[in-house]
Amino acid sequence: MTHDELLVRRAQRGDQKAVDALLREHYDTVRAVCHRIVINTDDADDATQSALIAIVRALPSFDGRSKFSTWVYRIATNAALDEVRRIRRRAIPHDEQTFASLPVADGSGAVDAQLDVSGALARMPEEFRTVLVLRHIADLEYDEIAVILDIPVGTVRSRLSRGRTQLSEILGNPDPPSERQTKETGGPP
Amino acid sequence: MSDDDLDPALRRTLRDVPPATASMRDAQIAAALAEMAPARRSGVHRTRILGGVAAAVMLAVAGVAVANQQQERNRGPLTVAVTTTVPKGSAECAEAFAGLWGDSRWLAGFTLNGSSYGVIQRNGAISVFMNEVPCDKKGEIEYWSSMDAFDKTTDESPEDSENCGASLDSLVEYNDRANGEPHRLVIIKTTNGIDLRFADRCRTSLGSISLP
Repeated sequence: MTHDELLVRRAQRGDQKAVDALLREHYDTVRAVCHRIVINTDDADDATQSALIAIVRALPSFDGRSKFSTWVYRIATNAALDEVRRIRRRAIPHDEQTFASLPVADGSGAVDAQLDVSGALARMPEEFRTVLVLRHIADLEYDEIAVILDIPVGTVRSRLSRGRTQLSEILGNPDPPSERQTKETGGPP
Repeated sequence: MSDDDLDPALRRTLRDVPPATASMRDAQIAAALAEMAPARRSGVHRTRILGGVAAAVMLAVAGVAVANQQQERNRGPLTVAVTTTVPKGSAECAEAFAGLWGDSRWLAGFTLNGSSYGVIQRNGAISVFMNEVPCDKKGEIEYWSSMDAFDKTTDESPEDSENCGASLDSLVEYNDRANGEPHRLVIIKTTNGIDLRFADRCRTSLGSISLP
């Protein structure tokens, strides 16, 4: 029995310390999944919170048919996608909010890299972004991603391929500075 | 297609999400733990939490008394004693929000400008607290009277705002009553705080709280 499985058993019996330990163990990845899918920092934090609450609420019904981590990332993904849909309903266009929330380049390589990746992810279709995140952040296998997103494995494969290509293309051909500045300030295109 | 198709440096950057602060992580986990059934918590822990909440309330009372220069001189030592019993972890806030006041209910948690907040509803009012010890209250909307008045005077019909709610960033919807009439209310997250409205007539605010 794995460490996770032991904790899950204790958690399902109502052991709050076990639940706390499970949440802490998976917190960073849950947060990373939410942040890379949602992009906007505050909204991603809300999605993270929603995911953690959903995990606790659904824990008694976890049946062990999948790995606990897969189950957790499925909940995190759904919370993040719910947040994305909520953002779309806002009066303010998603792109303006997204770019307004991106880290500001300060000349340091780390922040610039974050800015590039966040900006590139924001420009990608949600379905490509999601499979990239589940594969390369949550480290899930294709069949696990297929189950989470309820799509065929072949579709996972093709979206990953197209997503990787698109991400590389965007990062290789970023917007000219003037265009990026316009987006960051929320001005007209 | 293998993992190697993604440039390792790009993969590292993709995974390199700036970490949450310890206080935010603790607050978010605590809020999630508060979802566990109250019966599952130990009596000792609940007593300790209740003591912490009571201490925080007493501390606030003492602060008001001092500010008003009332003659209750014996509150000085009380303040010192209470300060030492304020709980250290943010779990206490979330558990307090979850219902230790008995007639209160936790409505929502949200993040704004990097700070974590909780919203509770109690006696015709919603209150926003920092989701970190000492669970500072940041504002309150007492809405029963305004809800009742607005309900009688507004020209806005549910049909007028049929699509209004869908365009707003609602944190949570809940039910409450004014003069016995049930109403559905919605809390909207704005760029600088929260706003309370009827769920079906959401153009007019019943009250708002500004946050830093």
